[in-house]
Amino acid sequence: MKKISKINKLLAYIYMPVIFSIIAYLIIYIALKPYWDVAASAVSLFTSKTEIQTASTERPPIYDPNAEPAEVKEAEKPYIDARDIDFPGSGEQYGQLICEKVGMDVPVYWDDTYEILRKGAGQYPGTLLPGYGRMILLSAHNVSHFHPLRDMEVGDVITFNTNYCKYEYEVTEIQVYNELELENWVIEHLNEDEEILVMYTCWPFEFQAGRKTDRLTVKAKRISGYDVKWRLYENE
Amino acid sequence: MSDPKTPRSKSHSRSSDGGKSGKVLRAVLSCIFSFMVALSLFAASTACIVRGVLSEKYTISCIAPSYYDGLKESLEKDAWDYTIPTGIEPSVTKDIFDTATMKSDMENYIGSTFKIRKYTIDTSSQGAVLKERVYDFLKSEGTPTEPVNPADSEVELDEESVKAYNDAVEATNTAVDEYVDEIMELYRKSIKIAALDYIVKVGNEYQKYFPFLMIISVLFGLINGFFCMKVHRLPHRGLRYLVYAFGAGFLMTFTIPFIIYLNGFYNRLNIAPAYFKEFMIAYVKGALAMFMVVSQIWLLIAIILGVLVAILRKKRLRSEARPEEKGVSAEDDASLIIK
Repeated sequence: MKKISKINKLLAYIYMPVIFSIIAYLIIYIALKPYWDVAASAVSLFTSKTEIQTASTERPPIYDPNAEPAEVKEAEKPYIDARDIDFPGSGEQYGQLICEKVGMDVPVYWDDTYEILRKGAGQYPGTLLPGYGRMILLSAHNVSHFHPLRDMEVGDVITFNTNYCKYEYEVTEIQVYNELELENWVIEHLNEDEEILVMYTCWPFEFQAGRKTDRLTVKAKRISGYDVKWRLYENE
Repeated sequence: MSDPKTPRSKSHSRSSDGGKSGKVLRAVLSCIFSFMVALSLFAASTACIVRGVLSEKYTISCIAPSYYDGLKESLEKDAWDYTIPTGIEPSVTKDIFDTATMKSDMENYIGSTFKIRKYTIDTSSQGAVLKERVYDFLKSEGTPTEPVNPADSEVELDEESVKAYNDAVEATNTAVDEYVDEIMELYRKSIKIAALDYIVKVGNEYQKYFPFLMIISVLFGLINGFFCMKVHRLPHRGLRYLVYAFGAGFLMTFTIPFIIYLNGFYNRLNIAPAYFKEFMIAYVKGALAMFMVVSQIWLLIAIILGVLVAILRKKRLRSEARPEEKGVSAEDDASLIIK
């Protein structure tokens, strides 16, 4: 009897504080319940279930110079199925732009943030990939990756390597636009069914007092590489 | 005097209190007072910790040395991005800002913010160095940076040419000044911590109420503790309930912060840049650690009081040859929970 009493006393040192704690937390929960949902929503806005990658996080490139090219479908006009292509995410390198004549060898990334332009050429995400038959709009800094554009001439050939195919483009036009003029031109031609590679950078290349508003623009048309079939309504 | 062989009636017993109902009443009252003591311990520890967290010293302690390295790297990248389109060689901004100056500026800024004082970050020396580097670069590129005085010129210059030249030089100098100002502004903005103003506002409001919170918590705890002891004639019985109170105080202060610590939601904060995220993680982690440390104090006191209860009880039992003769029934000496 005495032993049971002793054990009970000892156990009371454990379960009494536990009971008190549970009651206290219940009281706090009931008192703060109206604010709890708001607080929980606020916290969920700032957290994720796993560690997320932001545009500032280094993403491994999907471009692999040794990758096997995509399967070419046999048809009247051979093509590559868009479903066989690994579409890049923001900040991922998906290609390499080369022009040996002017010494240009630039990695190409999807999206055109400040972070990306430090590393290579960024593609405006409103345009499409090589082979898709639409405009490809690339930008880069004139002191680094697109510095060779100043030496480019009409007729030069640019190679655009991707995992799925190697494309070549011939320069058709080199012009200096005002930034607003370029913007209007891009908007006007963005959805045309003509594959045109457009590379632009700040102009002039030298120091200029004040903000630079001109853009050196190099346009090139595709001369080799397979079409990518991406529109579902196209018949075979 | 009563006959020692005759059992005392309960009405003559000092422990006579209505029997079982009296015991239950004492137990219930003790539980209530003990619970109130536990609440006041929890309130006091929370009040103290919140005060500590919303303070200048704590904020500065959460800034690791790697914060300044990350800040410097981020600042140099931003400066590079700003410099590139101007045509100025981006290396002019390299190592313009050093981590020691950043640390000093940041601590002064935080201190001034907590004291609701304006702190002006002095960038005159860095600005002068940057300007010098920019002019060195421009001179190496052959860009004119100084106006020409026709009187000093060996070649005869017409007024229009001189004016055009000097206008270009003035435009260049203005552009350089603007560029340097922008880079210095980038630095000043980077020193400021997002949401610090808000933390300071909340902290300063809280400081006004903190003394009252502490006084109320302490008084509340003391009063309830006093009554908890008073309900029982024997001190070790009252103390037992205080042990429960301190044990509960430990659990209340420890449990939820420990669960949050294990959950680690603060490691998945969606904030950038990385150095600022680390600062926020350190801030939250430090606050949780404070709760866990303070809770150990309550646990320690609970253990000490528990030992004291055992000592007092043993002393009491030893001093009684026969509990019935001293007027303390064997029932009174048992814990509430028997049977």
